[in-house]
Amino acid sequence: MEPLSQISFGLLNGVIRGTILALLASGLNVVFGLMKTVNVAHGSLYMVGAYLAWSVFAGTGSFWLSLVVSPLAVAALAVAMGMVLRPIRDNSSLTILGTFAAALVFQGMTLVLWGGTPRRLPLPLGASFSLFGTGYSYYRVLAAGLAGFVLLGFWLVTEKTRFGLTLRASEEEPELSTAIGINVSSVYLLGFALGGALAGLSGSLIAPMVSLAPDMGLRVFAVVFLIVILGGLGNIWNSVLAALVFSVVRGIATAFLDATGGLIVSFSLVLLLILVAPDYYTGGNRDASQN
Amino acid sequence: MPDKEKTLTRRSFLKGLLGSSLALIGSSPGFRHAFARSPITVGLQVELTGGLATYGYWHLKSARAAVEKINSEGGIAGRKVKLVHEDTATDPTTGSRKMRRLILRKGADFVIGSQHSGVCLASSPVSRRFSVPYFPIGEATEITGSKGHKYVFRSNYSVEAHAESGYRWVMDNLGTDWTIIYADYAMGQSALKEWSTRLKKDGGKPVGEISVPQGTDDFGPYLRKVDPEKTEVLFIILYGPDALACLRRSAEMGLDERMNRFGNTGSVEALDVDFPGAEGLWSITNYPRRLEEISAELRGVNREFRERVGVKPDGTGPEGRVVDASHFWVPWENLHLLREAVRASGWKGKADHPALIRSLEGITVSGSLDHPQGEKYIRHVDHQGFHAQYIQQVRDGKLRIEERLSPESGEYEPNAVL
Repeated sequence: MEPLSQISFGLLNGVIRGTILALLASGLNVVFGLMKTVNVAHGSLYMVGAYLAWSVFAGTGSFWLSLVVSPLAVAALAVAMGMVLRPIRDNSSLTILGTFAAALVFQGMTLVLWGGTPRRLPLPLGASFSLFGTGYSYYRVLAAGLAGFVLLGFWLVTEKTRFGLTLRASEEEPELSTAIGINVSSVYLLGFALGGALAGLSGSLIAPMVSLAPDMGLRVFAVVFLIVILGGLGNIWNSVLAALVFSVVRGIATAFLDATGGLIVSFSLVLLLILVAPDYYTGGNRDASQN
Repeated sequence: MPDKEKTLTRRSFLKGLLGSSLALIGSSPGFRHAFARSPITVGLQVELTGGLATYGYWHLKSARAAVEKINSEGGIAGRKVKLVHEDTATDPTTGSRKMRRLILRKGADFVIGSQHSGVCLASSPVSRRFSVPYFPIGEATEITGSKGHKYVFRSNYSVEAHAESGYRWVMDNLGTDWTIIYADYAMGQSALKEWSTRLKKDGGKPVGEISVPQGTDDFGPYLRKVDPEKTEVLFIILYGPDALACLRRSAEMGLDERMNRFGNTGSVEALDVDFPGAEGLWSITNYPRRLEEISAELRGVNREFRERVGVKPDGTGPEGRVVDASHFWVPWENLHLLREAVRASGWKGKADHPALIRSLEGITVSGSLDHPQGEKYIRHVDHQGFHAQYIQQVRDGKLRIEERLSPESGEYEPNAVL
């Protein structure tokens, strides 16, 4: 195949995958802001969202309904997890362990409820178009568009509304927020709900494009965590950019290298960026830029 | 000071008397018989979680059904069989640790192994170290090749046997110019080597070799490397969710219309194939999924075997779970093979392992309820088993057998002399 068409395919495919990963990463960012630590179960919530999409489709014949059901159901699940973890939320180490345990519980429950057989959903839009000589489903483009639209809405809610202001105040100054009458505990659970809804929606959007397996959540978590690190924890648009760059680089590297080479190049990029701008990733410059 | 060690005291006399009595009792036939009534413990190393969980679900059912049958028939040499199992999580490090646990904590006399080649290769040294006969199910050639040893017996095919048995059929019927897409771990690398070596040897053309990491969910960039102008056969060496994702994406990209697709045993294993991306796919399998595809003379025993394990004639089980037809018979048959070897060797305990090994070397079995997959033999020199293979195709959403390949068709030069 010609190198130019390989690069073009990798670029477009990477942007589409990256947009959905960015949506997933933004949910991780919200919960990080509230807990000051990483929700290791975030990938598993995405996996539950994907399986719920399958169940909704199997039960009703409509995939589109799952775009409403999955975010709501996963948000409820995330809130339940948040309530269980609330007593240890001030202890980062325990919270990581707690969310890791939750991830394993979700994975086990999925295995029990849906079994180990890989599940599949048909592409909701069956038609494809020709992209540099090979078929490409319209649904992939639509899913990326929806993810981008939701990301924009998410940004507007968190940056331009009173709810967003409350959320950010609780993240940055919990004691002061309590003093001015904000119920930080409720905001904490709302944050979990928001993070869960974004994970559920991402899972639902990706479901027709992948094979559903109980370990898909833990697998995606490593990538999403890297994206959030790359973009800077707490920064939505940088995470979006990081997701796009990571996916595009991985897609293009894969076109020219073997599997291992593609992974080495993509993950080396993360290492390189952290080495080039260590202050940013340890909070120095990021804090300064936000002031 | 008096020499205590040489002085006979009342206490030392009584100790000696007690010891001698115990030794006499222990060597008496009655005691030996009573001891021999303790159960034979068989360990099952099984993937209940992780990428091969769908296989493990059936392997546990198959092993339990075999133990129930064997115990209802009087056990093995008058001793009940006790099955203990451990979940490998489809991970070599965990699997190796669980192998130790089966042997050291659960007292396994024998271990029937993992489906995952990486787990088998990591567990094989444990089997050798503790001198415990091991029956791995994973298909990497090395298991009974460069990494084989006298305690390892594989009754099912290796990837080299699959390649030897099937490569000519693929070249003659589907095409000689192949692009191979394979899972980048032990089984995939092993299969790539065996199939591509034979392709090149017989004048075929390897158009491309595409490695894919396990757990890949976006096959677009990988399948984009396939050159449709030069490729006659897209050869798929993947399993489980990866195979499903690859089949769907290859159809979405239109590759199914531009070339033949052929898969290894894992490509459709335990998958519902009633979807457009699977239609037309050719593959090789150890055993037909649907009962009606089994030869008339073995269909009756296979019906009973499937009923005992919980598999319907269409190859599905509870909640529509699709059986891993190519492999789920192996734990069942290995337990029966073990029964035959124990009977033939007079095995009573670890000291009799050499006799048991000798009885397994070169053993042949016929198709029966104990061996529903059919006739097979274990080669003496490398402990590798050989049995029939089948070429199948997905047509109208069902797997249909196209051709049976004889057990001898998979015979290859041994890679080890044990």
